[in-house]
Amino acid sequence: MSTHVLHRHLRRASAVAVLALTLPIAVLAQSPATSPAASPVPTPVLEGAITVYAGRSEGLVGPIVTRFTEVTGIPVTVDYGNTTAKAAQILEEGAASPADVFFAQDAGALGLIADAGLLAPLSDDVLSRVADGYRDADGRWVGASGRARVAAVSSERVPEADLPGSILAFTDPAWKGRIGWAPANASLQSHVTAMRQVLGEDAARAWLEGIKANEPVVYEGNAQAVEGVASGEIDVALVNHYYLWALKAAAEAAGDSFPVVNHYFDAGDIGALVNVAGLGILASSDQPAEAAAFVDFLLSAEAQEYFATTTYEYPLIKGVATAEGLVPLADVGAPPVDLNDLDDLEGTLALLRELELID
Amino acid sequence: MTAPPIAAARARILRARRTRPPLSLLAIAAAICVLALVPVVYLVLRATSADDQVIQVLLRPRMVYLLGTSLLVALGTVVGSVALGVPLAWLTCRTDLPGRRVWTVLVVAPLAVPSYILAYALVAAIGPGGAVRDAMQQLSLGWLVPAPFGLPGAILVLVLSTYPLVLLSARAAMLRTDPAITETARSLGDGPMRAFVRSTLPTLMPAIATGALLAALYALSDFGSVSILRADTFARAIQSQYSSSIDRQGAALLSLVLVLVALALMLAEARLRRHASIVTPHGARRAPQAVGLGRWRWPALALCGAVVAVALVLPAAVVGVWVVRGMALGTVQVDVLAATRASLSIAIPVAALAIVLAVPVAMLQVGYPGRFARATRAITLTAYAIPGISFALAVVFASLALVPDLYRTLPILVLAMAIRYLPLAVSPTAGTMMLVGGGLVEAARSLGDSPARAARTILLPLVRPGIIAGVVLVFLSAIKELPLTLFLAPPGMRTLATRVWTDATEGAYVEAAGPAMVLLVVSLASVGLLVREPRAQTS
Amino acid sequence: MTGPEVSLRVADLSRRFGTVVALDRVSLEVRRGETLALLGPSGSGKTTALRLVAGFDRPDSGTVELGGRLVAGGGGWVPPERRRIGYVAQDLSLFPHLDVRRNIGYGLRIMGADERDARVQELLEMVGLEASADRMPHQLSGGMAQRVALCRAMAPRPDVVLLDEPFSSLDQALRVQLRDEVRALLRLAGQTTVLVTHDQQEALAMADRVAVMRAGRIEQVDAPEVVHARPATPWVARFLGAGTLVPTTIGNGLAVTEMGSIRLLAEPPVAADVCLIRSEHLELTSPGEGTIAAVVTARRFEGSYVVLDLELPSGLRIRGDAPAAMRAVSVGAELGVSLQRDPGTVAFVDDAT
Repeated sequence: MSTHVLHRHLRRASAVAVLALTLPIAVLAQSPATSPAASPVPTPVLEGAITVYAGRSEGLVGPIVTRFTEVTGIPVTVDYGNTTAKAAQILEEGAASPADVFFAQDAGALGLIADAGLLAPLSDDVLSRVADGYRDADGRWVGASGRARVAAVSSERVPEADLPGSILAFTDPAWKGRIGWAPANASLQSHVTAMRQVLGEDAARAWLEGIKANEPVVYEGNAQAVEGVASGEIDVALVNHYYLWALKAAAEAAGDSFPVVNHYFDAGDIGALVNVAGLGILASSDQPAEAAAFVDFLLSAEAQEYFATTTYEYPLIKGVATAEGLVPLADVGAPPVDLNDLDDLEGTLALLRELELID
Repeated sequence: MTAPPIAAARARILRARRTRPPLSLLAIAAAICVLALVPVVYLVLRATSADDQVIQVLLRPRMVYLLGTSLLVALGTVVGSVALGVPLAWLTCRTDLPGRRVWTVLVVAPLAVPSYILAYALVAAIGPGGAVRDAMQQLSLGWLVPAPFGLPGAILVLVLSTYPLVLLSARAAMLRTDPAITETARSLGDGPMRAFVRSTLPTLMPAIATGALLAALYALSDFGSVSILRADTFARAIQSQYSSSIDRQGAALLSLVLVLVALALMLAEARLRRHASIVTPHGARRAPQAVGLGRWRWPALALCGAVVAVALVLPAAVVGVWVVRGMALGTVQVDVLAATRASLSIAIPVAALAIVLAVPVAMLQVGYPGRFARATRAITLTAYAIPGISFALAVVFASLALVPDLYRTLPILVLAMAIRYLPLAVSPTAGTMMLVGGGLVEAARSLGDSPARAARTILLPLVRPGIIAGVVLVFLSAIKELPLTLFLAPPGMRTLATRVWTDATEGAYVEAAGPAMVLLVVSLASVGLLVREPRAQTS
Repeated sequence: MTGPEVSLRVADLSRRFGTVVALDRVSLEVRRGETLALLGPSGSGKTTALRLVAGFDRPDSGTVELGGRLVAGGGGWVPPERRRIGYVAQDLSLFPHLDVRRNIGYGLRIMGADERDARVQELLEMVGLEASADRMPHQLSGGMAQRVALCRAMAPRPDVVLLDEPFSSLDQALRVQLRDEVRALLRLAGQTTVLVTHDQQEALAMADRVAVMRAGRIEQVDAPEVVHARPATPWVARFLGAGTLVPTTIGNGLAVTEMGSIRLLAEPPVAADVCLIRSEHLELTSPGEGTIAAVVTARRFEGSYVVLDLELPSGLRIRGDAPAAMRAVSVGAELGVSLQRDPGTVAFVDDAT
């Protein structure tokens, strides 16, 4: 075939391909990007759409966000990402930020944004639903669900007796090559901040160096770390408690086994830290009423039930029970850490960077 | 004495160099230059406002290590792409390789595959949970499968993405070489391969070096594939600094360093290109006699086949496998439509804006070549060549500072991309304009046409092939683009590219497959549209 | 052709590019129906002048009047599309996407369709290209393309047609043929023309007057015969002529040169001290009485001529055509050189200019 003819065929084929792809897309482009109102709107005033910067994963919170739109008719655009990255973004954007609500995975990031003066005070009604220890002392952010730090361990390869009561014991060389973690994850960073607060800088640094000496496997996120335990890549993952349940349920539904269990640390040990995922409304928001409605909804019984039974986190309002099989929050034995004190995220990042655990 | 037409063209160009360009062209070009420079200015401002602590942090051994690994990746890419590109160029250009015409197109086609899709394919094949790894593990052969992460994987992907650059450069030079040189060598006793290596290859060195430098620039700038493959390079560090530090100063400083390295490479490439046009002989138009491969044709075909298989067939196959798996789970379709819509809503306006801006810039460069045209070219090329992530960061800083209301809106994203890819639109447009010749506009004016009417009736119809090529090139680049979209797309807007990247980084192979497939098809189709006779193509 | 007597008037036209002076106070007039050639080497400013007249460039000072109307300088400016000019560039610039008919008719937009077709047909017949009217430019030979370009320029009956090195892309034979054709065509149409060229044969053959240009200035404007026979300066003489400037002493009605004397019939320029001796003025014989001995330093066979380079005893080198009997002389041979009895017109110049 001559080059001419070949080229002509190629060109024709490509033109057809591009056309075939783009025409239906163009036709379909009429539909809006977000779901329209389906149910009666509670207050006629609330029509504006809101933007949420979410440091949580779409798989976990997507459904409850959709439910909010169904119930209130307020369209929501969510920008998912890493909590620390989102916090950095909000700080960078300042008043120009398109975000109305910050849905963070941990309290430290919320504290950081609040200290920068970027959050507006929440209503007393919302704040009163949650216990003192799970919200900002100045009322700028509120916890939406609780999470305990645990070690997700392999039920097949790690006997119960080997597991230490304190997280600090994982620096023992016996654990070399068997640990996995996600240093970029906000929950771990918050945990390190807590260590620095409670145990002091030197102890925190020593622990980090000790773990580093055990050559931990680095994961992008907690879910991947837990999956690493299941697949045998590692034996222990330092994560939040709820990942296990969701992943286990999904695996068993597919007929696979998921030989991983949560190991809770001793009461009062820094390893048993309980943190919260929480919400704050940006002071620069153009839709404060709609944003408030979002926060209100996530602290409603329906949403809290969702967090309890679907994502296996700890609900924070009264009257909603924890999922079966979970260690109740009261029994976790969290150390006395004031979540308000976790806002020195910058210091933790500097430490992690210095030890070359993150870039 | 007859004066050849070349003299007439040269005379016209020399004359034109002395004429002042019209104000309208100057104004448009000046506006474009300002738009291209402002982000860089803000990058410099942010980077140099560093307080001592940041600078200290950046001078850590870790940073030196990162620079080292980046240069290592660049070096590996250069070596690999030359080792692949030059022999493939020779095989498709100077030998009697069976199916040569088809191979000529196929070996260049990998240019259409974005590097991060190749990285995704690699990870989705042999990474944890990958299709090939799973299959091998079923057979208890899992230990045979290497891990794709780290520098070797990154170098492999980058080599496969950049060897076409070396190939095209070497090929262009080979086509210009006088076959008489090789024939003379053969008459002096050298076999065909030896004759080529000893007599022709040295003259091709400048062109090969140009291609190699482009490959190095690509390798340094790439961040999509190195982050999927977790290779510790500068570009990856910039992105992680950006997302994990509260103060983006560190990221700005790293970006600036990378920009300076890229500029150094660009200057080297420009110097080499000038040298190349002096050294490369402009020989006879006679086509050289094809070298007979004999029984060497089997290894040659094997090489071509292997490269095309890994660079083109593998990604398509891996993506296909995961699309099928996704369809079985029913998760693929909805995301793909929304992502495609998003990608098109960016790429189409970008291509349109770029070509609208390109026509006056091309008219300036062709009709009034002088200081101003040269400056415009240098500035727009800089905005194109500096690493994407650095440019994206720069635009973030600039837009927050200057037009906060437009920050993270479609207009600013489209504008930034159009400016960045402007040279891709200007180059073929200016190329065809030069072929068409400015004398036509003058002739039309002497017959009563105003300059605008002359441009419309005479210039535009003749320049159309170049304009179309420009539109397709920009569309293709915009739809594959990653960093600008990641940083500046409106909240909630996820394009094909960002979906593939975020899903691939998280190991969500199924979710990434659908968008990856659409991107592959659109890319390959666009490249197919661009395949034309060499005459109409420009460098 | 109607219109004012003077179709084009250029006064004190100057243009510089940076430090380079392209035109230095050039003044010219071209009468209606006249063909003026701007002749000079490259860099002499002839093309610059043409482009200033066309309006593709603006002068720094001076004025251009076309058809009695001020089009450049003196506070006025008329863009090229509103000057009534025809322009043929060196590479012809035929519109590649239009056929011959539409190329020629391009400038006739204002006319009605019938009138336009009639005019195009008229021109096609004038140049004998009716059969090629539907061809595309790339299908035309060099000579045909040349004719089409000229027709296109002439179609709107412009005040002046401007030709920029019109035949430079053609081979020698075609050139000569086309040159005669074009000259006839322009004359027939009574078209005022300005022609730029570096080829003096072309200028002398086609023009009614020749303006010889050098370094942005006009050295001489005269009819071709006058410029050729009576160059105003040595430079013009050298540029135009194939000849040698030979020192001469004038007195008593005689011009005395090394090779012999010339009886003067007219008064030469006052301070003339060289004269232009061409090969046709020389007589080459065997050395002997009444001749000067000269040595052959080079010999060139050019078909009908054998050209010899000769060195005179004074060291002066001149060029002469070998007569039939001398065609076989070799380098180093000695010949006798003298002046023809009746040399015809010999130019005398003051070498100081």
